[in-house]
Amino acid sequence: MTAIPDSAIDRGARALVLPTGILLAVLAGAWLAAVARAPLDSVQGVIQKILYVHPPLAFAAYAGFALTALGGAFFLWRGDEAWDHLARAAAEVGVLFCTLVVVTGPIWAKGTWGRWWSWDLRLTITLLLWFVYLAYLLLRSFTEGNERAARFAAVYGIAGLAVIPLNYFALDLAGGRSMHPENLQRSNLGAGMGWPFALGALVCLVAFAHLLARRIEVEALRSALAERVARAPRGLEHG
Amino acid sequence: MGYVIAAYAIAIGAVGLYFAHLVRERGRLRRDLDRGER
Repeated sequence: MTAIPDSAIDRGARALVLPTGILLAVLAGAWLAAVARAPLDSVQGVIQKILYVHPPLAFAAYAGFALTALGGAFFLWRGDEAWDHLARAAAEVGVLFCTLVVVTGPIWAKGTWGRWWSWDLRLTITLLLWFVYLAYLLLRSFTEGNERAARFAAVYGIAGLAVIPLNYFALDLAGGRSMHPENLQRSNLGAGMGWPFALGALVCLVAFAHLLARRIEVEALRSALAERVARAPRGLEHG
Repeated sequence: MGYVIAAYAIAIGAVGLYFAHLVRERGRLRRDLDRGER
């Protein structure tokens, strides 16, 4: 009998799949309706509606990278493989959301600035953040099942977290020379624009939680299968 | 309007594709594990 990992993290992930899936289906519909009904921005026009998805995607990416660091720290401290599974799963889901930040940003820029990209401090640091965790995933895929590499990746994942505050406060660091709009919050949005933004943030975070829970499940099954292959007599690995 | 639709379609489409990949991968791994138990 092959044992599927059953740590508190694995049990928590399995328990999260259904409620987050239902919540996501309900919230996504409400969010899209709120975006469609939101008033048009007097300066940017309809292109401003991209901002109900672009910053929320960044919040989910930040959550992914924060959990990568947290999982890595607990893995180094406790040596429990479940924390490494959490770190790896969170990095993969975080990179997905960060990729979407890097894609949706230029679409807004093209419609507003008239060009896809500018080597602005915020944009450059976002690209750096994406590369840092993309490199984390490459490292993990090249060193599958290697305990030492997992420890190195944990340290790398924690160090990479330093890019997040740098990214968030890039506009302050640029001292007013950044082309990027200021960090969006409900308080600095126009009338009727707060709800679609808040719902967008909630939808992206629930989608993140749902995908993370499913990714942890996959990681546990892969681990069980790898353990079975390692225990199988030579020549019967695929039987 | 085209840019807005493209941004939402890419974001929702990518999340949907990744979701489908995870569901399929889970099914494949489950089948592999079950086959090994028999």
